[in-house]
This record gives sequence, structure tokens and C-alpha cells, in this order.
Amino acid sequence: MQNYSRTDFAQVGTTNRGCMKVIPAEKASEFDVIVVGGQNGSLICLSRKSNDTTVSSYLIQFLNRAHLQIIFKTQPGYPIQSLALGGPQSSKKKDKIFVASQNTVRGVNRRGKTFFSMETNMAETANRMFVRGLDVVLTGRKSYSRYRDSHDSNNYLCTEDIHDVVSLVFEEAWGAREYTSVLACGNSTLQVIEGNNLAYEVRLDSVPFTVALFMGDGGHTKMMVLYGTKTGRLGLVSLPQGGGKIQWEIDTTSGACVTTIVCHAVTGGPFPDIIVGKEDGLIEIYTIDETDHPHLFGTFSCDESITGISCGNVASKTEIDIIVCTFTGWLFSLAKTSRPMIENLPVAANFNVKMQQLRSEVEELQSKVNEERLRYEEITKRQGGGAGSTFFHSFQVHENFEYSAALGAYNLTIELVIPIDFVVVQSQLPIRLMEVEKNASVVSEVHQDGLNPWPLLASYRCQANVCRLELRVQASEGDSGVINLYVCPKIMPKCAQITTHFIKALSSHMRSHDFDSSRPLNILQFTGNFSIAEAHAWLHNLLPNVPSKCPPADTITNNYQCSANGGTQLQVTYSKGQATFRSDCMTTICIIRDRVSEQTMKMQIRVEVACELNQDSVDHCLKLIHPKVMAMLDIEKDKLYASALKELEANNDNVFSFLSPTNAKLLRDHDSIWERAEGVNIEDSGVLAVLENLMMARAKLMGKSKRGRIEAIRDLIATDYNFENVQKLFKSAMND
Amino acid sequence: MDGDQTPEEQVEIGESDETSKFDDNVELTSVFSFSLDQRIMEGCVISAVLEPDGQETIVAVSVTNKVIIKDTETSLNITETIRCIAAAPFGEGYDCIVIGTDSSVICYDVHNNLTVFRNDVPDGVNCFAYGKLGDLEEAIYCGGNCCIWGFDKSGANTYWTVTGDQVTTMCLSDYDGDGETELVIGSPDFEIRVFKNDLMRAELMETDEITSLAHVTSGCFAYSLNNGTIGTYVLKERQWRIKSKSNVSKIFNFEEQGLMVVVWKQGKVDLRFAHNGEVLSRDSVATPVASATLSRDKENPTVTVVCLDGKVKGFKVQKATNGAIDKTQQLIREFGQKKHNLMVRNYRKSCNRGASSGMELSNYEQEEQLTEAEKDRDFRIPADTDVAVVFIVSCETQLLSLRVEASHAIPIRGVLIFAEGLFEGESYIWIPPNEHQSRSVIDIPLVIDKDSTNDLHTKVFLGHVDSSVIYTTSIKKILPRFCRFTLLNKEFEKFFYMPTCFVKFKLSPRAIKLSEWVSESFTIDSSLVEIFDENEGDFKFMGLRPKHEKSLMFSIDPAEKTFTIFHDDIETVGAMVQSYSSFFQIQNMESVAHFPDVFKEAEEILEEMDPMTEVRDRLTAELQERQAAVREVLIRAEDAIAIDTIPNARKFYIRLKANDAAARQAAQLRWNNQERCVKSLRRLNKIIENCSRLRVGEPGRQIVVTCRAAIAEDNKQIVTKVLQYGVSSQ
Repeated sequence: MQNYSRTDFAQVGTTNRGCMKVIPAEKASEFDVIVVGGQNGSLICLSRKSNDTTVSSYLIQFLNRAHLQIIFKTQPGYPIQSLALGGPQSSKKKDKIFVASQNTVRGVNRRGKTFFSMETNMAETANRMFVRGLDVVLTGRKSYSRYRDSHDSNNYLCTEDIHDVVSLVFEEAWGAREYTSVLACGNSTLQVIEGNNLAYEVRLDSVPFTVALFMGDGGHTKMMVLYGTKTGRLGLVSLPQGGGKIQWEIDTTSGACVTTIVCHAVTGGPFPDIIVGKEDGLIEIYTIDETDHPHLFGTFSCDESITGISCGNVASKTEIDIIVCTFTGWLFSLAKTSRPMIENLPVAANFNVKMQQLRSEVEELQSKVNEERLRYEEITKRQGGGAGSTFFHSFQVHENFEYSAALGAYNLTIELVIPIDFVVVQSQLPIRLMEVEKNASVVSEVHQDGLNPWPLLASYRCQANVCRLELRVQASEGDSGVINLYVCPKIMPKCAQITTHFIKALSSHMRSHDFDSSRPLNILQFTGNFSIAEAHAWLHNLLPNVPSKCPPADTITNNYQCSANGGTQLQVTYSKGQATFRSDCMTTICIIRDRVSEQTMKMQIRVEVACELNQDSVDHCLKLIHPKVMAMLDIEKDKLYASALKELEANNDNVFSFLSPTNAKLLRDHDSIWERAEGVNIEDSGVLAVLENLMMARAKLMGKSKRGRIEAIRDLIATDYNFENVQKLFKSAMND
Repeated sequence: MDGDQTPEEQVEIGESDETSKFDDNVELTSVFSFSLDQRIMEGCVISAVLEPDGQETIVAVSVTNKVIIKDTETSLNITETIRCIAAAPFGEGYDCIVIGTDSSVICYDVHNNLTVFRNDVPDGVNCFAYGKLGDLEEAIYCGGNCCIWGFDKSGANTYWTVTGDQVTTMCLSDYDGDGETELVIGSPDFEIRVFKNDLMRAELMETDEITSLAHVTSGCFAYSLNNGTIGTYVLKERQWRIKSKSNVSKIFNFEEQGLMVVVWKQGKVDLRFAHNGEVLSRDSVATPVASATLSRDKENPTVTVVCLDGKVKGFKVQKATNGAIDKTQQLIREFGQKKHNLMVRNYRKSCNRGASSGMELSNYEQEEQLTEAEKDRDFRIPADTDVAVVFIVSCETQLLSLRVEASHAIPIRGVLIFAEGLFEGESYIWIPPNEHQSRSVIDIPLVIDKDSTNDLHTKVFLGHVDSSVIYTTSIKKILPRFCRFTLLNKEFEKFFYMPTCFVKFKLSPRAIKLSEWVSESFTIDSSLVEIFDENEGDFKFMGLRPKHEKSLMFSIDPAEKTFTIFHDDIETVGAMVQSYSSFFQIQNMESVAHFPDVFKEAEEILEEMDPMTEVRDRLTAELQERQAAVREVLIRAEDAIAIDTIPNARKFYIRLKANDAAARQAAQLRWNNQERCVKSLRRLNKIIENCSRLRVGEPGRQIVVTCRAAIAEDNKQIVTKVLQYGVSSQ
């Protein structure tokens, strides 16, 4: 987005997702105002400066006074979880602010007066809110409630985590359809709730994190909903009564979680554009064509996770600004640079004055902090004798630990409000740290030895003013354990926070919706005297994204698909006294057997294990991974050929006159082949591990020797890999 | 030494004296890009004027070992493996290309298509620097393995000296600001050495392999390390350094503007202030960088970056056009961030505790209002908890450790030591195993491979076992240079192994208080140090791991006024002599060395040098013969195919196979011999260097010069004498 530039407005302290909105102006002569709710519970309303009122506030840490003034701010309180605009159904104008914190909803008008307050009977904190007319829809972690005119009208308890909610626009023409809301759920579905009941669900390939009404009102059918997933995909789904249909789903420019979606016309096209904000700080704009399909218009990167985007005529009457709010509380606008910057653009002289002003402010604060620091030291000295205790800063560590199927690794992001000094990663299980381009900090690893019992111990020392750190770790399938992070910010007195994350043994398995039972299946069955909750706990320890609480059912069936080895699947069925695992991959079965036995041993539950192996599944697995191996070997081979041909070209005048078509093509594609081969490494790719693990797992399950086989696989890959050979190798290992 | 505690990207804003910098509103802009359509060897790119009155063009080396010149079809084929390339103005108003291979230096004139000279350099050349060094004429300086050669425009050898390790990068810069240029070289042994003419002026210990050097201004040069550090030295002192995770490919200097351009291997290009390293403007290229060059056109300096895949992009430094707005925005943002950081320190999220007691109540103030119960819940530690970090020597195991001890028996949850170049990475981390969570004393063994001082920035995590918020203290500790030795305790006499080697020199009248040097350079209890001031007797030291079997003894003879250092490792002794002399500011010092094994080795090498060269010549001849045979058979085989006599062709191909095998074998033999030859030479250079370091100043230089002359004149018998007694004894 070359022609868009950033103008900082204010820094307001940490914000939650969706807590910033632009309120349309009351009169045509006025500018739109921005309202933002912080985690400190204070609601702040800002507008473009019209006269010179100076508001001194410590609540707003930074305010670009050249551009903005504060209209009102409320007292801090419980963190604001969600913010929505609403207004009477009759009028088009939505200028009432609704704020949800804990389990209460407050209504605030544009002058800062609270005109409405409602305490709900929700047991959970209301995370997300949707307001329209008299309806307020709230969702907690698992519950969904709709209040009409402050009366509890609809309720639904979801078995999965709810990430977001929207309601379809209610029009008279709906007829018999009840009030319909869409929930973004943790099991990769969009659940459509009609009244109190789940009408149907739309299955997606990854977990939806954000939902929004298409074009702001659901499109021409009023039933279209945009969704953004944790893996950075964006889609449009049509949700009429009876069943939904995905219209399209696309990859956005990065794999980071979509945190906000807004529809607003900013590019000047005939339809409202889609503006997407993401966890890694990317803002993307898509234009919509007549067929409702999106086209990437531009991107903007701001290096902090985006919590809110809204649009309006904030700084100019004629041009729309895109207002963005980040986790750490930066509030800025993106505006076209083509128009003259806001009139009072700091020119050099003016600018120096301004800088001076800021500088003295910083100095003042610095001395204030120093004073307090001294005072604190005195206090601690006075107490002396071990009587007093040290003082800790509490700071919030905003973390995200998510398995990315595309990378085959865990992505870990740490975001702090204050700059990070260093982070120590300590792991109980052997993991590999992977390079992240965005992460500019200096990594140093300590090897495991007599003094250091940890398989991985590493420090990341950050550059100045880094508040967000992205790490990537890779674990082998079957390994599980705890990763501890020691996060130390640049703050005095120095302290650090320890945060803990778990890596599950079958981390590359994702929830899927279908199970193909025609594949050759291995079946592992545990029977014994255990409850369904115990069986659920095993599962919780084995697989990612399993809720910690057992759903209330007699028999539970879940399907999974592995993303690493070409897509083997796993079906788990468990009930009281019985748990059955069915998979076409012996590696998976072997891992489950080991892990579950370990746990039953620990809990002293007597179980019987029955394992039924299907030898055809080995060939089937090899077939699944085969294209991956071939692709890698081919690109490697092409690279060598292309280089050789390049050499030939350098020494001959017209090489294309005698080269065969295949070779000519290789030579022409030389650059793109090298580009594709960049970073392709069969050792690192994990395919070798897939084959090795399969060999080992089968040997283990059948009680056979696996000696020499691992080397044989490596040899085969290095020398003459093809499907028949690898099949033969596995067969011969079988017959030993 | 310098201000930065831990080297990091430190962009300090708000220093009042730097308002002037807004005038330097310059930025990097991309000016051109094209592709060489060849994969380029790393580090081998230059720009040169190859014709009289010609334009500067890019000359690069392809991965297939060819020298390619931009915009010309021709490429030079060099039979030997090319390692580096340079341009030198040896022609009449134009440049010659100087090519360094693994065995020679070739100077080639493209304009006249002729080889100006070709000099054998037995161990190959790694890098070049062209210019005027001290009072010598302009010449091309070639950095080889432990030695440096200089050749003038006719190829005559004008300079030769030895150094401690391979030379990986060089630059000519006025290091001390005296108006004469010195030769600054960088080596993989972490050292930057400065030569004034052929006398070593200074050694600067860095924390990793030196990867590039560049002249900045008089008295200032820039360097970069393998671990991603860049920095500058001004008048012998490090001015600033910044560490990042990428590696530097090249540094260029824009002297007039006080700016420098840093090209990183990963593709970043940034424009920085030379005086503090602050970034002014950034740009990048898409693919990994092979190398970069700076055009010498003063009016219009352009940095040309060449990528490994042959893509070329040019950058120019020019007045910022639309940067002004972005920049003010950015500055405002930086200030905002700074203010924000301070605010957060002051203001804590108080709301969770149910108190909306005014947001201006600071963190500290609020602290007082917390009840004891609340404090208990946080697993706090006593306020006067002390953390002691000391060096501990375990005599029994001959091991040096860093002991971290917390008072009040507060459990240590972890120790993190940042020290450049001491550990494998930049840090060492200790986190207790699960079963020993509550230790409040921990010894971290330090096994050190180098004689260098080091700053240990130790961070200690303190807190109760179940607490997720932990208190952190930072303590800086300086590791003395010769920390691998400690004064021998009577009880541990058994660990003293009398060294056979020594170096003996006259006690300088300047060295009155020997104890000062000893207490700075060794880990010694301060109460014991005073004995060194008596200037008499033997002082025995015990070696610590990994030097646990090598003891050290100082022997001071007041009658003869001599100081003898007994130790078997010549490099360590050299380092001690240098450290001693620089501590007491001794300019020149003679000494007598006794290192029988080293001298014997030198003699052996000298003896076998002649036969080895003979063998090499013979093997070379043999190889050429074999290769000729292969060529002949190949042509005959192809002829046979051409005239359709397949049986003959088959015969020739079989013969070809045999001949080829023979040629390969000959090549292998020659290679082995060459390898041995080079190894011995390298070793000899190293020995000369080591012995020269046992002296200080002029006597040290004389040793190098005399040995070189002796070898050249075949006067080999005096070499060991010189090494042992110095030059003046002759």
C-alpha cells in the first residue's frame, strides 16, 4: 500500500479485540469521533481537534495533540472486553456505545453519559458482543445469550470454545426463521444458532477466529458472513435457512491469525471493501467484484498485533481514514498520502518545538520514575532485616502458542506492553528452534550436558524497543512435554515472568470432520474400568485442541487428520470403560499405545489393550508420503541439471539449437528452480522422520528388530528412491 | 572499555546535542537493477575501470570459477580455484584485475588482454587491499595464511610479514590518526591486528571471527564479526558496537557525510551514522547477497549489491524526498513509545485489585497499600536479598567456576550469563533440574579456551519454587585475561608440573608494582597479591582446566634483574609478555626464549622444505603429462566415432578410462603433497609469529624480517638462533 501513510493519534494502553470503533458524526459539519475501550476499563472518546483545548492525562500515555482532542474518558474499572455501536432500530444512525466488561453491558452516549446498564446472569465473562437495535448478543467461552430489550431471550451452550459471534440482520421478510446468530467455534466450524438451538454447522478446514457481516449487513441476501481463521484464511459463507455454503475461501498474505474484519468502502469501488487486521500486524485491503469475489488491493504492516479496525471521516471530510488500534494501545490512521496531510502538518520549525515538548515530557517522567525508584529503595532499606519484601511489577504477557500445519511447527508469539529485554526458552523435550525472518533478536543455545539437564535451553536477546517476539519451534511427532518461557522486560526493578506451554504427543493432528473408513485401518482398543472423563483426559494429553472438560455425552467420537505425513487419519471413539482408536498410520497407533499405557500405569487403572494391525496400511502410508518425497528429490535433481546447463550456455553461443525440449525448459526455468529449491532440505523437511517413525513403530508394535533399517531408509533416499524400492524395503524388514 | 553493557541495537533518542541530525535528511534509494544471469561466488565482486577513460563496470566471479565482466560476452577462465578478486590501478589510467587463487596472485590487464604478473603464493590468498601503507609505495596487499604479501605494479615483492592466523579481511586505515596509513587485518582467531609498516602496532581482541573491515575516517575504522556484530574503533578505542542476528557482507564508508552503508548477507542494506551506528535509512534486496561494491565516482557514489543468484541492484545516497513526513512520524512514535515505557513503570494495572484509586498513583506508591497477605500470595522475596557472584577455584578438580549465591536461602530459579565469545553462543543458561529446584548456591564451571578478558553480564532469577513471577538481578563481573592460572596452594603441590620452556627478559624499571598487573590479569585472592612486589623468588601457579596439566612459574632474580616466565605454551607466554609490556607501557623489549620443541619443529620444517619443493615440481610435471595423455586419447576416441570405426572407439574409451584414473591419481598425489607443504609453511609462519610476540616492539619486528631474509637467502641455520636469542645476538 504505497500510497497510504500512517499518522499516529494516541497511545491508550492495552486493548482487547474489537474495542475500538468510529462513531459517525452527528452533523455534517462535524468530524467522526473515535471511541476506544482499554483493558484498564476506561472508555476514551477522541475527535479531531477543532479548538485548542489541552487535556492533561496520565491515562493516555501519548496523544498526538496536533490532531486530536479528548471528548470524554470514563473512570477505569474492569477490563473492557468488547465494544459495539448501536442505535434505535428505526434510525440508520448508530451512535450509542455499548461496552461489555465481566458480565455487565453498559450503554454510553456520545457525550460520555451512561444511559443504560444491564447486569446479565452469565457465569462467564462476556468476551464478544453483537448489538443491533434492541438485541444484545453476548458470548462467553462456551455460552451464547441473546438479550432483547434487557430480557434474556435465547441461550445456547456450546461444547466448543466460541471465538466470535455475529447475528444475521433481522428483517421482516425472514418469515418463520428465528433470531439467527453465527458462532465461530474451536472445532473448525461455524455454528448457526436459530433461537435456542443449533440449526446446522458449516465445516471449515481451520479454526475460525473472526466473523463479520459481509458488506456490513450480510450482502444482498443479508445472509452472507465473512470469516477469518487462525491460519490466516479468509472466507465468505452464505447461511440461508436449512444449510450453509462456502462461497469462497482464500489465503491471505501471511499465515497469522485474523483478528478483525471490517467492511467499508475505502478504495472508491462500487462495493464496500474488506479490511482485514491480523495478529502479526498486517492490515490487508480486498476489493469486491460483482460476483462477490475478493481481490487483494494492498497491505500495510505495523509490527504489533491488531485489535481493532474501523473507518470514518475522522481527519478529513472528503476522504475516509482507516483507524487502527493495536494490542499495546497505539491508535493510528492510515490515509492516502495523495491528499495533503492534515493541515497542521508539523513543518520543520513547528516540529522542533514539538520535539522539544515531547523531550521535556519524557525527561520529566524519567525523573519522576527515578524519584519513585529512590523512594522505593529507601522503603526497602528502612524495613531491612528480611522483614520487607521486594516489589514486583506485574506486567501482562500476551501470548499465542499455536501449531501451524503449513510450517509443521509451533508458532509462539509473545507480546508485551513494555519492551522485552530477553526471553529464555527451556524445554523438557527435544525441540528445534526455527528461524523466523521477522525476529531480529540474537539467539544462543546451550547444549545439554552434565550441568544442564534440559534438552533445549536458549536465550533470545531482543533489540531495542521490541515489544513483540515471534518464535518457532518444531517437535518430533510422539514427543510431548512442557516448554517454559522466562520473559524479562526492560523494566526496573528487574523481574521476569514464567509462562508454560504444552506440546502434545500428536501435535500435527488437526480436528477434521470426516473419516474415510475404506482405508486400511489399524485398530487399538482399551477396555477396562475407567470413566469417560478419564478417557477424555488421555485424549486431552495426546491431541491438541481438546477441551479440558469432557462433553456431556455417553459416547464421543472425534476425527483427526495428520498434516505432516500426507494426511493419515485418526478416529477416536470413547465411552465408559472403552476407548477405540482407529488409524491408517501405525506410527500414530504406536504413540497412542505408549502414551495411554503410561497414563493408565500412573493412575493405576487396569486396562486391556487390543491391537489389530493391518499390514496394508504400511503401503498406504508410503503412498501418501510418496509425492512429497518425490517433489523434493525432483527439485534437487532439477537444480543440478539446471546448473550444468547454465554452464553449457556460458560456453556455447546458441545452446537452444541443440538442447532437447526438456533440457531447454530446465535451462529457461533455471532461476525459478533455484528459487523453489531454496530452503528445501530433505533432512529438515521431516519426511525422513515420517518414514523412519513408521518403520520403528511397526517394529515396536510387532516386536521385531529395527536394527540397520533407519540407515537403509537414509541410504535409499540418498541413492535411488522410488515407490517400488521403498515398498520393497519395508517388506523385507517385515520378513526378518 | 565502552559504554555499551551488552551490545545491542541501541537507538537512543532524545539526546539534546543531536538536533542537527535532522539536516542530514538523506536516504538510500534504489537506482538500477539488472541480472548477471550467473550464480556468483560469495565475496567476489568488484567494480573497476577496465579501459582508459572507460566507465566503471562490475566484475564478478561465477560459482563455476570464471571471471565475468558485465556487458561483455567474454569471461576469463582461470585454472586455479579463485578465492578473491580486486581492482588495482596498475594500467595507464585504468584498472587491472587482481585475482587471488589458492596458490597464486594473478594480475590481468583486460584492456591489453595480457597477464601483467603472476606470483606464486604457496598458501593461497584470501583477501586484498590496495593502497599506500605507511612510507611504502602503493601496492596490492594480499592476505594469506598467517602471512601478508605486498606486490607493486610490476609484481615485485615489496612487503612480507607474518601474523598469528589466517588473514580473512584487510583494510588500509589510519588507525592512530598520525597521518600515515596502517594495515588493519582481521583473522578467524577473533583478533584485529594493526601493522605499521611491518611492525605490529596493536592487537584488538574481539568476540568472534572478524569478517570484514573498512576504513571510515582518519583514526577510525569499522569492523564486523561472524556473530553479527558491527562496530567502529576510533583512536584505538571501540566507539560503538551493535549486534544483530544477520551477517555483514560489506561495509562502505561515505566519509564526507559521516555515514556508512552496511550490506548484510541476508539482503538488508542500511545507511548508518558512522559515529554511533544509528540507522538512517533501510532498503533491501530480495535474495542472499554475494558481495557489494562502491563505485569510486566521488560525485555520485553508488553501492552496487550483487546477489548470489546474479541479480544486481544499485543504491544511491541522496536527499530524502518524501522521507521527511515518515521520519517525523517515526520520531514522534519513538518518543511516544519511550513515554509509554516510562508510564508503564509508573502506572500499574491497578483495576484488577478492585481499586480505581486514581491512575496517577504510581506502582511504587501502590505497593505500600498492599497487605501482607497479598504480598504472600505473590511469593515475594525479602527486600534485602543479596546475590553474590564470585569466582571460585576448586583446587582438587583444578576448575574455575562462577559461584552464584543468594542470601536468605532464596532459591535460584536460573542463571543467565551473557558474555561475548566465551561460550558457544553469546550466553550460558543454567536452570535447575526439576528435582533440585530450591538451591540457593550454584557453581557454574568456566572452561575457557582463550587468554582474553571478558565481561560476564550475569542475570540471576530469584523466586520461590511455585512462583511464576521471579525477581531478576543483574551483576557484571570481569573475567581476568589469564584466569586459567591461580597461585599454587602448598597442599596442591602435586598439581605443579615444572615447565621446561621459558622466556627470560630484563625487569623493566617501569614495572615497579608487579602486583598491579598480576591482580588485574589473574584470578588471585587480593590478600596474596602483595608478595609479587617483593621482586624476588619463584611464584608458582597452577593451571586450571583446560590447562590443568600446564603449570606456570614466574621467577624474579633481583641480582640480575631478570624476570622469567616458565610455561610450555608459547602462545600463552607471548600473550603474557604482551600484556605485561602494555600494562607497564614498555615500548621495546628483548628476551631470550627457550622452547626446545618449537625450535626443533621449525628446524625440521626448514630441512624438509627443499626436498618438498623438489617433489612438488616432479609431481606437477607428472600430472601435466597424464593430463596431456587424457586429452590425446579423448580426441582420438572422438575421431574414431566420427569416422565410424566403433571397435577402435571402444578401445580408446577404455584407454581413456585408464588414463583418466591415472591422471586423477597424480592430481591427488600432488594435492596431498601440496597440502603438506602448505601446512608446514603455515606452521613455520606461526612459529615465527609466536617468537616475535615474545619480544616487544622493534626487536619483535626484527625477528620477522631476519627470519624472512634468512629463508630467502637459504641461510636456514640461523633461523632458530634468531628465534631463540633475538636479532641483536647475531
